[in-house]
Amino acid sequence: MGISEFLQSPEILNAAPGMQAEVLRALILTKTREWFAGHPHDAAALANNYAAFGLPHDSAFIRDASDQVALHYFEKLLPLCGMPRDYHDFLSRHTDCADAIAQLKECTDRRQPVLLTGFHFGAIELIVPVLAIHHLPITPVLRFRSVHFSGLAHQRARDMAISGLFGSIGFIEIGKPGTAAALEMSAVLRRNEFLITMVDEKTEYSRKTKLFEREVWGGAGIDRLLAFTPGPVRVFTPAMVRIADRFRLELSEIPTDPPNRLIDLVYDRIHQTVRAHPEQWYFLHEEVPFHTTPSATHEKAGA
Amino acid sequence: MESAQITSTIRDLIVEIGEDAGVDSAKITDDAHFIKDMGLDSMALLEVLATMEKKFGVQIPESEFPNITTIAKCAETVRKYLALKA
Repeated sequence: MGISEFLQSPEILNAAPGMQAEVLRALILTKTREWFAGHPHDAAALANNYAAFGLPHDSAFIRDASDQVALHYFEKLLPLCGMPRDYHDFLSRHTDCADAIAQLKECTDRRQPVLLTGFHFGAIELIVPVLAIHHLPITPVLRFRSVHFSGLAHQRARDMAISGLFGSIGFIEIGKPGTAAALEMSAVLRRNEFLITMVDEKTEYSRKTKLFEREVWGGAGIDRLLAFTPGPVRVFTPAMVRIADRFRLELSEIPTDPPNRLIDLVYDRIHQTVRAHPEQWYFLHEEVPFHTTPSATHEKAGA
Repeated sequence: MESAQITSTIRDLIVEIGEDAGVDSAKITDDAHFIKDMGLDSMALLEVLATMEKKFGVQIPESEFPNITTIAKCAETVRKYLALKA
């Protein structure tokens, strides 16, 4: 069992609806600290990944980074807590997104499709619901940890839409039987809606790019998706940055011409965001898709 | 465009995409399922869709995407939208 499965166990999933957000947050933080204390190899892997990118990796920094990993899982489970109104109130009170929403609404007004190139950083789990409370037509591409969680998420999204406080959220579940993900993703863009997909996971269509001077597999095939989708599609790299107990949605538009530069430009943006807030790069608690193995070229970090 | 020519053009397209994907050419028949029989993935299906639209000058709506499963069904779909365009 990994930390992801541990923090999304059936017990936690079933208990979450009856919890207040602060109680769930404290529970996930405690359980994550227990996990890293009991699995020193995972803490060392996190430190080694930071070291491989030339980022801070001392023990105080890694403690902070592992708490950020916990917050990521808390934010993933947060929609299950309480009623849709509670979630709406939480998002409304804690997020600063006026500029980003204005940019995206302009795309809607012009009937322009939008591709949001997500990456494993900060409070990414809040991006979709924040767009939904502004009734922007958003579909995330994702993979649920379990059929159980998938069912809960679909039901909660329906409840949120029925409440009228959120717009409808579509889901494209990678790997689900009967799903033709790329076709469905293109269909979202053809409808002039918004699609958010992760670009930093390795897929069959990832290609070599650079991040902090390291060669990694990146893009997850978004260049092919755009090549086979009638354009023009507006592309933005979003980041939901945690600032104390608030969140700020930052958007950077990525030029799509020339197409062969797209992924490198997205990765330049990822680099800038991570450089500013390295502790929020929770991606590094899992296996990083290095193009070449880092073990031969970086000094192993102690943790 | 002749019906047989549409099927032949789509067959050539699938052979080309199949070669890139390492599909055994013996598995490529007009009724072979792109995913179940040939092992193509959804990105390949998107390439089939986009290339058909470009080659035949048609726009295939989302409701027809479930029909992008075999050469025969693709040809039928293209014929339908060429006829609507005429």
